[in-house]
Amino acid sequence: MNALPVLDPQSPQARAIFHLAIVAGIIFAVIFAIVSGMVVYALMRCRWREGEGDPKQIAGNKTVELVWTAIPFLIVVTLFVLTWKTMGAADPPPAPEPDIVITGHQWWWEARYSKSGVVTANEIHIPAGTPLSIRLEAADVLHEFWVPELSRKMTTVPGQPNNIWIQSDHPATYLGVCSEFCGTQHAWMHFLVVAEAPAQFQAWEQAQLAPAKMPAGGNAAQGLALFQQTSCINCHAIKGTVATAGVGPDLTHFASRKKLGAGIADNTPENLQRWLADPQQVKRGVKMPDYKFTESQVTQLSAYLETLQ
Amino acid sequence: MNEIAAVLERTGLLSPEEREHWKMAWLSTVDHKRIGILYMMTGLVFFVIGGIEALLIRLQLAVPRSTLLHPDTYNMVFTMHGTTMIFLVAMPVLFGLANYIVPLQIGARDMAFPRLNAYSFWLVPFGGILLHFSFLSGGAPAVGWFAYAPLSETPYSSQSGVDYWALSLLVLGIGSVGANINFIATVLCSRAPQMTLRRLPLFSWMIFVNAFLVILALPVLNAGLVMLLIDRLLNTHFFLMPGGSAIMWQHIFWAFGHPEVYIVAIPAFGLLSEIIPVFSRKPIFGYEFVAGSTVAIAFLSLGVWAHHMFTVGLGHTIDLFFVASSMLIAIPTGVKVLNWSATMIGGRIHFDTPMLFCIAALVQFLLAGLTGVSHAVAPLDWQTKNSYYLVAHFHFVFVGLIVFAILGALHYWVPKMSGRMLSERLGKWTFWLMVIGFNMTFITQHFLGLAGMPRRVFTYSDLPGWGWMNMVATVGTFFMTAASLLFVWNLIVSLLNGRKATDNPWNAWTLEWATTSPPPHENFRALPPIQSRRPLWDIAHPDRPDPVVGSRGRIDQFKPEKNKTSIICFILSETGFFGVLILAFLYYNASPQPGPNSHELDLLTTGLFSICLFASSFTIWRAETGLRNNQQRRMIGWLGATIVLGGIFIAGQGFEYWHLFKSGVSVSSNLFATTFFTLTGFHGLHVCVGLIALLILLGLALAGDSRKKPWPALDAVGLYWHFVDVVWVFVLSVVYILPRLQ
Repeated sequence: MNALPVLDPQSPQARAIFHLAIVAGIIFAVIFAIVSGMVVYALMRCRWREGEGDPKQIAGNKTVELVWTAIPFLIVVTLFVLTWKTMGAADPPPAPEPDIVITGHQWWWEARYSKSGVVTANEIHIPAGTPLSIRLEAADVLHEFWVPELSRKMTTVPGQPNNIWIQSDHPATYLGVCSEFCGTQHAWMHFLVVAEAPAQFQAWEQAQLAPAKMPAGGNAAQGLALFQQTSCINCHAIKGTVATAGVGPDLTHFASRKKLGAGIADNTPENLQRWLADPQQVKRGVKMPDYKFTESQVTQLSAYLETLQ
Repeated sequence: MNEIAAVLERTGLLSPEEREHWKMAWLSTVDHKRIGILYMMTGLVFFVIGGIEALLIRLQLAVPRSTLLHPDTYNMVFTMHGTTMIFLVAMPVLFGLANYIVPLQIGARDMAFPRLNAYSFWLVPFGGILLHFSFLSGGAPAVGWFAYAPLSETPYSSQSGVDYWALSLLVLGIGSVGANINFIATVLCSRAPQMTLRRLPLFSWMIFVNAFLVILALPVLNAGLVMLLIDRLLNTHFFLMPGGSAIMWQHIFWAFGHPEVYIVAIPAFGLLSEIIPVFSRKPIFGYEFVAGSTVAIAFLSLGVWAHHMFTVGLGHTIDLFFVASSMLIAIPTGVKVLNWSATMIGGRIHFDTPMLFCIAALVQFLLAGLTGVSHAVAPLDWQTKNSYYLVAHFHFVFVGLIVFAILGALHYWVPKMSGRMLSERLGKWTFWLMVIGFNMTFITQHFLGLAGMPRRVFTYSDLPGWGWMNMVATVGTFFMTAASLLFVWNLIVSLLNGRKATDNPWNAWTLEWATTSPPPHENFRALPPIQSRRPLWDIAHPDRPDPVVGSRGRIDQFKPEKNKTSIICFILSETGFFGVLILAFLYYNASPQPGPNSHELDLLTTGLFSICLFASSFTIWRAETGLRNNQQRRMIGWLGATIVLGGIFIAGQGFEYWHLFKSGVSVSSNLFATTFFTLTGFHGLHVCVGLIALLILLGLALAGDSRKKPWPALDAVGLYWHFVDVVWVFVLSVVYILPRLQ
């Protein structure tokens, strides 16, 4: 991963912004050099030395003033035109129907694929090379969707859907964050955008569409029973079981995801068990309460969730 | 404690008669110099608090995945840091400097309204304590200094922190408006006869222009705050779904918030414009352009707010308008920077501490301005907004420009205030520690932003570069802390045994240097002649005085009556408040909604008591005529009639409210009811305030006070009363008549 993702565009949209940044950056650098050059010149050449009196009293020069009002005006006009052009390229009008509807929740991201019906959380798979129209919504407060390499950032606003395009030229994985402060766990509202070759993406989509497999027995089966008997089903959905709630992330293919708790930890069995034992210890303030599961219950639940590939 | 009194007396900050009651002498003062110092001391106390909060932020972020602070604690700390530094440090310190310096620079004896001045000041500690009381009431606000809805609304912030935040900003906003009405009246009405408007020193000029920005912008925030409080306390939903709009809060907040940036930047521009010429030993380059560009900035700053909203989806057309206006503001700002630089070129620069701070402020502000333009370029903002790049940008403005300018100004003017020089050696140490620390912290943060780090996160993962860059930023804050401590130490040492300051230790040219250090209570024993912008230069160089600046133009001699001036300014500020409420009514009632609507209202009854209110404008005009013709009894009669008519209006409104309550319509019924009660309620409140003022006038008149000539109170209250009537014309049209036409 590049250390400065904002300057490492991987899509035509982000590249349009990057090119503008280069042009603007050069203009800014030249202005900075000229003006700070004036200051440095004054500091070097116009020092007072012991015994010197006051210099010639010059109170201004109208021509000079007009010149340095007019030149910035021309620069501003140039920048405005460039801005105007770039806005269209970086942020084209949305498609009539979005490819993915992404909803910001305190503190995770929900992604619904309009055509296939796939529902997932915090890990958005896209086919490389294809622009996707994304609709952004908010379930509670403002959030902001930002993947620097792929697109502009955009706020999710309750009651006012916004649209952006994302695209990745190559298969790669990108880190996205929430960039609008949204409460206690704003810091851990990460997500991954996984761009895959089209065939792989289709395979992923097919796999995501399948309902969860029923565990054959053992801890996993007990975990499923526990899941369906306790409060888990008040918030979570697992396709193929009685759990259909949409308050928390959909867990149908939970084990296929790389991260846990919107980026706070890797999705490993150990981390999952820590999470189930007390989510508040892992992600303080998270909306999932501590259910005070016993150790064996944690083992069973985690065994079950690990089967949800 | 008597040692403090002794020190104060020795330096001339206390007269011998005041020694016994020195605390009361300072706390009950209405002297602009003492109030100025009280403002700055208050600012210093809150700077310590806000500074400790900054340190906590940087300590928490020093290493990835730190667990030093609970996330909620961190969120409170950064909210309080921002709110404190802007409202309780930057504004009070700048207003304090202006309080001290402006009357001296314009050759006035005091501010136009010394008691209003004291009142405005005391609202600052009161507002600050109110804000900090939230810590004891279950938690400080944790919503960021701009408290975006709906996070700031009850469902997502159920504790009372946000209520204290809003109340405190209301109090501080009222204080700021009071202070700045006073600045306008002081500059316009109290300046020395020869001090024409075109001869004003640039700091005073900029405080004058800035004051208009304050009285126009702060009431917009106040309107937003009352709407937020009504949402939170009365269960309505201006900014909440369903029906309410989170974006509306952003419009209101930034319509205040962007001018606010200039409200603290313009005084800093004024400071640079004073200090750079003195230490370059040359007059400011292009006085008219520096002054004129300030007016341009103030105007433009009222129309750039939505550049804070490029990422909320307003659409490209609206975005482009604000791109253009925000870019335009770079032009007058650039003119200023170029003029300061040109002032130094060809000068004989003295590198004393005040100048060092100003040079650094100039270069740092150059960078801040350029990154500012990069935010005006909307597509770049789409990337860098809400990242550490933005954090770096605005700290370059607030610290790089404003704090540096303030530190320069304090090193420049403290000798005038205390009569003691500050140590140059300590001053230079302060400067270098500050400049190194500041740039370590905030230059680094630009790159953190480009590395993708969002602002307001309590921690972060160990991504490439993030760890060490955050560590560098944290180390920088310790340099700044050392600089701040050293500065306070320098102040104390200089007060105890600093070298005595002469009247004009820097050989400066403006009037504050024509009096003793510290100045006597009445400021000047005698004023020198003023014929140019640098009266003291003319005295020191009779052989080559500055060109005389004309004094015969109409603008030069403009000197209105101060009571009238202040009430007009007050009305101007109220326009912003009611403007927001009226626009909110129109916005929320643009489409009909379930529940009560304007057809519930009885136009006939309202029309009748409206006629009473309009008639009262006539009666108060008759009362004024009576006073002018010296017909006391007639005047009292018409005044009484005005009160009766106003009373009928209030009674009528009460009847209307009662009727609505009876049919089950309350403020939380729907957005029509909310906006109706908010708008008419605040108008009614203003009528009540007017009635109280009229009753006081009536009492005074009956007691014979109105026989004293002149009696400007009636004119002032009369103007206010007309304003309240005019507002009702708008309210009546918008609330009662317009919906019937549709």
